[in-house]
Amino acid sequence: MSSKESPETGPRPVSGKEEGGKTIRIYVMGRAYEVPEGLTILKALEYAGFRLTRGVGCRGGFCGACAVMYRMPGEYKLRTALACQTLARDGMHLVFIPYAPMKKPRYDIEKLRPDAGSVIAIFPEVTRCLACNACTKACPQGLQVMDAIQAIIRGDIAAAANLAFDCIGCGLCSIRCPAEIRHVYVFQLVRRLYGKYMLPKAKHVEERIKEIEAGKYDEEMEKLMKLSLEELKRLYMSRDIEKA
Amino acid sequence: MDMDGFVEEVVRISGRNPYLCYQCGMCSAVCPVAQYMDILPHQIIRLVQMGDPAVLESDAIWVCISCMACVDRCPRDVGPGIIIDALRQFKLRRGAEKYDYFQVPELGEAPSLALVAASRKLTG
Amino acid sequence: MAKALLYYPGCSVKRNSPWYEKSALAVLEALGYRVKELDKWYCCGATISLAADDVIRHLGAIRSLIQAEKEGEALGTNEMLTVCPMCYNVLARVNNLLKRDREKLETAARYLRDENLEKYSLSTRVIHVVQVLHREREKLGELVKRRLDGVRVAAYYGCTLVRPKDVAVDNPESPRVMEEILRSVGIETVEYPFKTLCCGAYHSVYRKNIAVANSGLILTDAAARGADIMVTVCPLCHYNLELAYRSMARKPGIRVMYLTDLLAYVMGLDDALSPETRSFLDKLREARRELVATPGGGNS
Repeated sequence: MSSKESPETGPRPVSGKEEGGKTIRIYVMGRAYEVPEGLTILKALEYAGFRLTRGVGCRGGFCGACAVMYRMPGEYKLRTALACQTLARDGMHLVFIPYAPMKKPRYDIEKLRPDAGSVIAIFPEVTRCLACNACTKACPQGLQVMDAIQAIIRGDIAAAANLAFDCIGCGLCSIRCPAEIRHVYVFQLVRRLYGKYMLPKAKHVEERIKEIEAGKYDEEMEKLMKLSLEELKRLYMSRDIEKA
Repeated sequence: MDMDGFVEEVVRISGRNPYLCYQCGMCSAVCPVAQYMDILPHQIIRLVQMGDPAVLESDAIWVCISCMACVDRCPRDVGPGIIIDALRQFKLRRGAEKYDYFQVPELGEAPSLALVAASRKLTG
Repeated sequence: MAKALLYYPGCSVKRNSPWYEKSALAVLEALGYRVKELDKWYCCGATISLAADDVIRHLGAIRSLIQAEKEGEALGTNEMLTVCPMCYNVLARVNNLLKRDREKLETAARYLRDENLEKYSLSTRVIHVVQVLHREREKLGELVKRRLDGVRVAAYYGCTLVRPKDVAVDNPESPRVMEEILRSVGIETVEYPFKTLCCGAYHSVYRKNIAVANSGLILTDAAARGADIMVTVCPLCHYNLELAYRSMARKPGIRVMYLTDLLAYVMGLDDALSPETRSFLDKLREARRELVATPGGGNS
């Protein structure tokens, strides 16, 4: 748990009835907290007084920072979720999983080929996949994680990149994987290989880069760089904006 | 590593009975990789019969590739290759790793099935 | 209606041996088969888990068997075609295991229920392309467009097509199916003692010397007995045999290729051959034809 506790604002364990509205009881790492009904897990934690510095980011379901695991009473299932996207429910036992431990491997994308060998040489554990599907079940994005890993073993980088396109890197699959696969970085690599070597190049971007390299905009840039802050602000405010 | 009861566990994992072996040596004769082993397949089975945990430290159990040559030809249906696999499992289930991927220079070139097979046979 | 087959390609065939897949499918199509690749399939595991208490390592195979069962209904077949003999071996053994051990079948079904996968009802039949070619060998003979007179071929089986006994495609001690297929298209075969000796399997990534030594022995012995070509059906055997060949100081005069490459060539299915394979066979055929045509030059 990445949180800072202070006497005034630190987490407040159950102290009896909270005033007004209906409340539920959640358990954070085994300790009970009374929180209003209808909050996301993230907001419930903050209501309870946790000041999160890790394990929280965009609050919109895009950054993958706020992964949690929880169990509901009467279930054996270990469930996974993004705290900012999931409602807190009565009786929930939860823990933050703000980080799946793994060092980001370094590689030179220019020297790699868009094939499975490039991925396996850096992430050999991909070949340990047991097809158990624990990863897919853990994915808060609902991706077919196992299928993406399986696509790599059979050399289909394009399929893997597309299946993993919406991966936000929360790492929950990597925590659950019995083959200890580093999915987050594996998927980052297959998307990079796909984007660099397999997707058709955007013509207009290439043309624009050529223009820039040929110095077509140098003069304009020089002019801009000589302007004062006031002049820049005025220019910015008076820029052409497409009518909605 | 706690070796107590390792024979019982190996018998359970393999589902085979090592005590049926009468040391004819067929397994060692037909093994395609016997010349690379520190002890031979029939000796491995003998050590298991005697309950000698030294067998777990032999390199031979990692040289066996489960080609089934000995399993099909064993006159006592002991299945030496299956028992050898159980010895590997005994070690792997206790955290042994016999395969350092990053020491393999042509890792990216080898066929997937070689890599998957090596992963399953040599890592836990 | 064309005879249909549910096709399980396997990871190595897809990733490492695309020409093998091409020639195998072209030959089957020429024989009148409709080959449908499974919409979903999973790595078989490459080597079956031998532990009696294991279920999780069979899951890739079980998922694929279930998928074949599901798609087979629509296609009117239960035959699941493999071209890689490792896949054949694992899938067939897991299939047999589930038939024998209903408790494991139940355990797997309970585990897969979470994913709304139906329980496997044991109807899928796993077959290898060699078995299909063997049962169609008469028809293969009728489809021959080119003769390869004077070319001698050694068939290499390796382990997984013939061991263990309960999944062997032929007599495990002395298999003949590949030779019979080759002879049905008029190709002369060479007998040699190492056709079921292990090539070294996955040791080529970890203890390379073993794979190089075993595969080298297999190659040099077949070459010494006059084989021009060694045919295999396994991507890993193929890799190891070539690995051994490359590492030899004195190269034996023998070329490794897939059985279906050779069949595609004699059947005139040139689009299914890599340019290298085709030009090698063209040259060999020319050379042997001259040899056979020269008086006293032919020895067959």
